[in-house]
Amino acid sequence: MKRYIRTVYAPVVGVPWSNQELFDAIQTSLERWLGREERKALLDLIRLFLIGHRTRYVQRPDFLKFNSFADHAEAFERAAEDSLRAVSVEIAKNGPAQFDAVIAVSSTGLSMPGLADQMANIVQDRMNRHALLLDVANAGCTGSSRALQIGANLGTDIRDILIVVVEPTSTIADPRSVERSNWQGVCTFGDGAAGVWLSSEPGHGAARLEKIVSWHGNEPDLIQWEKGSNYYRFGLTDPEGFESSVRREILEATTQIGWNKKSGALCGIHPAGIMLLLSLAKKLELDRATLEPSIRHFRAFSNMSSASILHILHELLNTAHSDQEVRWLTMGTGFHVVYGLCTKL
Amino acid sequence: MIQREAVVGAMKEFITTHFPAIPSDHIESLCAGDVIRQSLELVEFVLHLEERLGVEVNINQLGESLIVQNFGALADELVRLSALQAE
Repeated sequence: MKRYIRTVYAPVVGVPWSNQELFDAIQTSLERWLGREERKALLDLIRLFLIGHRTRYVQRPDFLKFNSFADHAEAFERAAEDSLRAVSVEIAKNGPAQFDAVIAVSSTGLSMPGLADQMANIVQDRMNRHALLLDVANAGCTGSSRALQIGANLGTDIRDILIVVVEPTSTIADPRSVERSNWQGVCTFGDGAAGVWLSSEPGHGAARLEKIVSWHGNEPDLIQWEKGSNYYRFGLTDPEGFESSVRREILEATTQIGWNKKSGALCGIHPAGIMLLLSLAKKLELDRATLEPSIRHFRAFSNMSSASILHILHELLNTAHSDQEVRWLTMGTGFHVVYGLCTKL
Repeated sequence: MIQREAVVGAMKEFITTHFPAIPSDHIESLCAGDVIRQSLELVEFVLHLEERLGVEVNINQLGESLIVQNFGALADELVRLSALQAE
């Protein structure tokens, strides 16, 4: 059965923080508890992670003061609800009469009832009472693409599907850690939310989903949650070898999933980080103009986990002309890579 | 293993192209962080070194050296890391 991306919802949640604002906040936080020598070494590293002009959106500007499991969990719940409501505002402007399924994605927290159930309550006037409600958790930066993969394979009785993504990444920051991967995460990620209305019917401005394939690699421990001071936090098993391993995995994936260079197609690459983005583009022979929407997104929002690729798709689908192909590539924990392709109608 | 002269030569080439106002004769004493201030420039610098030297340069491995050291010390570090990789 054909599936159509009817619209991509890309609300902006939180408040913008520049690199300088984040650096100042981290410095102030570290001054409270870390000795001068250790602090200097850590701040030098953080300066590297925050070089140049970039912003991210932060839903809980007090995240560097979290001091207990409850602080983190409560922050996630509040930020998640704000994000679901932000997506619901977009749905009110352009959505179907009724959703037959909700797939909710988050890799930054858990809640009960699940996020799909919460979303169904928020948009209950548009919900089929028999709808499938499903949470996809802990899928990392490929989470939204995995949800699209699920949606593309659901049966014909499920016509209109809502995919909703909430990633308040700041809520897992560990302000009391000296681990470099924790701070690499804090500096690389931004908070974000997004959604997709996926339908069995085409409509104005829609794109036909042509292909969505995934590849599972050989680096299960590369990116993982580690146990922080009082919550889980972002971790890399081998920070020094991370870039090389990721590049190797992605290049292996692209040879397996049918990614090839095609002129005239618009392209979105998950902005894992600027080094990875540019080095990958070079290997895939993508020119700077093709990569620009992904770079622009990273500069404005940083890496919002799997919400990022949907924001990039939102822009690409708005600029694509009729019959133009839009392709995207996401990569993340697992190590997992997803390649998607759609055509603007 | 890469030669120090080749590393400094590649650095000079990058600086001449991207920062023509900076005299490239004495780059070894310049702090890298005073010259390279944007993330894109930093990545382009690393990609340029990779291309010219034929090695993989790992930003995470170089870490804060990339902005707090001068180019001379950075060249020493790259030579040291490439020797380690060759072992």
